[in-house]
Amino acid sequence: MTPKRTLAALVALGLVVTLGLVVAVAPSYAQSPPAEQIIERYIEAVGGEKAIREIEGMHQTGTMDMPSMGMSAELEIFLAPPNKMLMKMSMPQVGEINTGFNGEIGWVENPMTGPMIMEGEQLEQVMEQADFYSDLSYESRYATMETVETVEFAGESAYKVRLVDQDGDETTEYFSVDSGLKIGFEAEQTSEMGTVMVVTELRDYKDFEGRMVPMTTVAKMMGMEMTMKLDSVSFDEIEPSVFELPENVKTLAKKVVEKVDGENGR
Amino acid sequence: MSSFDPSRDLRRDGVPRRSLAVLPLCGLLLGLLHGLFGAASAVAVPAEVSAERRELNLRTFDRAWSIVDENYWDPEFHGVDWQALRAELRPLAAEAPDDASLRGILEDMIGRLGQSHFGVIPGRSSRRAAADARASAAGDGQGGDAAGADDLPTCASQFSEVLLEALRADAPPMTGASPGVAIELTEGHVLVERVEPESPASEAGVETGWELVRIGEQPLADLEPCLGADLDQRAMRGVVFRLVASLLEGDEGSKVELALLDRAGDERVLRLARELPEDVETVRFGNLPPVHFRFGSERIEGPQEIDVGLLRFNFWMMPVAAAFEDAVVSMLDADGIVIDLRGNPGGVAGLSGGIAGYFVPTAEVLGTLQYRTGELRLPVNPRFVSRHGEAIEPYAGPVAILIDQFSASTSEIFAAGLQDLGRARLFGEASAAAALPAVVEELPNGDLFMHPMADLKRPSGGRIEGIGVIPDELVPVTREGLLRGEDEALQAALAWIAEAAREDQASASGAPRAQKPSSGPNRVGFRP
Repeated sequence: MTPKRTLAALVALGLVVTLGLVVAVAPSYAQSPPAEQIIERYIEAVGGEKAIREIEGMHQTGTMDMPSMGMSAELEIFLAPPNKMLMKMSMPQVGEINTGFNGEIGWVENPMTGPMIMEGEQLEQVMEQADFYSDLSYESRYATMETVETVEFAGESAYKVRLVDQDGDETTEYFSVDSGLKIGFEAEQTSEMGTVMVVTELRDYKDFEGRMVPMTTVAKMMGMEMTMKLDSVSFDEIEPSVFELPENVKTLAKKVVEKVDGENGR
Repeated sequence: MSSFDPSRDLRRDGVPRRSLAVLPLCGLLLGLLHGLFGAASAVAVPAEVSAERRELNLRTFDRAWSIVDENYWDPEFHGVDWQALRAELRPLAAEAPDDASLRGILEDMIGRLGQSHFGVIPGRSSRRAAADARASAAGDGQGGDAAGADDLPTCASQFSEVLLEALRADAPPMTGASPGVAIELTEGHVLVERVEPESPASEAGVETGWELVRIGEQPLADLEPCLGADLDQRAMRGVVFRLVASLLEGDEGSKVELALLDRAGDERVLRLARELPEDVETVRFGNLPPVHFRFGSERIEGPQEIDVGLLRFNFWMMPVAAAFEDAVVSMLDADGIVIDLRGNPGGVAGLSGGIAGYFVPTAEVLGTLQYRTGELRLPVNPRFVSRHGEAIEPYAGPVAILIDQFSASTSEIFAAGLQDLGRARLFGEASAAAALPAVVEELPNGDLFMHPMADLKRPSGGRIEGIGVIPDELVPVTREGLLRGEDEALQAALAWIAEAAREDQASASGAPRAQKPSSGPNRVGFRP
């Protein structure tokens, strides 16, 4: 339940681009624990598997700022197990940009471009992001997990872990040597505009009755920086209707199905 | 549907398109000021500056230099030695006595790259200081010219103090209020291209085709070296022209004196009030300065009684998304659609793919953004549903796009994209050749630094920057046409649509192009 999913959703809106961030110092190979151990420690650090599985839903509110563009937005994020997500982003000069996955259909509603139904790589990505228990499924999600080295990441000593999924796509995650918490990651994010490398820092973890949540997320890409700050987090069950498709997305989804059926001669 | 009469509907229903199109937004103006002023301000170096000023200058210079160094899409900087340029200009920047002088140095720096969409926009504090300086200068009768006249291009020796002030980009009068005339540039002459109905200009009897020879204190005939067709840099001509056009604007209720040559060649001097059209919407987007957005649409009847939808908007800003949808959904049964992007300097590029989706039924790409570290696409989102949830189909009939020498940036991306996709035919003049995706960042001294993030390739693979978009049918604006009250580019577009309709009928398919809308408002006010 890191903000990876919400950041990726923002990328999907075409609002982000990439920039390298990692300041590598002299690598330290000695005493770096194996990746599996680092991830186990991380799960414990955020509250443990039992605590994660007890969560019935998550509701976050906060803000997103892109200082280089002079833009900001109010955010509201809903997550529910096993795989539902809705992110609402309200920008004063743009309107409301919503992204969601209802367990079957991934969609984006953007006043700039109109509604879209996700397909292909973008859909696969949003499915992964909506996976409520993704933190508990490293072993099934990744074919390879290895600790590369100990580096300094965002001013903190961190284990750099390289993860390769079943399709060969690579992600790098950074875990604090001190706390065991995940403090950042580098991953490609796909939107309708294409794929970009995003470097993300996770900061300001806060304890919510034993569950640790990063309250600040900074994403850097292609020379631009975006900061997301949460101001509230709750773990109550989310009303299922929250994840229902908006009317225009529902209409569009129906059209897409008709089109596919037509192409398939059904 | 109104009956089609170009002399009535298309000329006299005009709007101050040119005067509205004063555009720090797209970078054409601000991004090219360096071309006029770069070296000029750089030489204005005083004997001493304070240590505090020097430190701020260096932080500001270093930030701007680094932004380009780290992000500019061409790591070779088009052959410019970027490190050497820093060594050359940094000492000058350190000694700049004020923000205006520092801007000149920065504009010199980015000017060496020779690309559009670079610019240094005065921040609030700079604008306040400039206003104070002007007030002080006005009090003692001095012009307060920070740049030596010798450093300006030849034609600038003819600039009035008012135009020089606008050129310094400290405070272009972007109020949206004007006498109601739109101007056009033809062979170095500034002509009245449109007259807003019921505007002060209309009530004073101003007609299209009249030549504007003076605005306030600024004589225009002497500006020909800056406005003539033989000027090497088309974009710079656009900059100067837009600055001239900006002189028409001012505070609502204020008056401006215009000297015009009528069709007989007689000079008429008119003192006209500036009015803000009722349909103007002041719009902001991020760090960009506010713009005065207008949108208009109507159904017109063309040759052979064709029924055509006509849409026009003056900036690519957020309100266009809803207004365009409402209008185009009401036109899905038309014989053709004309999108008038003449004078539209661009805006938010992300809107282009959504608008294109009303005309393209398949997932296509309008252009490719090439960053230093990768590339992104500007995708078309085919529109199968309205924002109200109503199922629609992309318009399948003929689409004509009107462009001219002042259609820039997002307008060029959109027009070139649909041209390459074979989805639109373009009429008018070659475009401004300034189409790079840019962002605006704040510098340590509070000024705003606009810089292009990527190069842009059109679907066919070619560039727009420095080349422009070439219409399928070149239809230059002529004084004779304007005096006749004709819109020759639109007429050419309508003739093409009429021919397409005739061929369509001849094919006797009889199949409707798209479903008719059950509803759909047709916004008027900014009437095409």
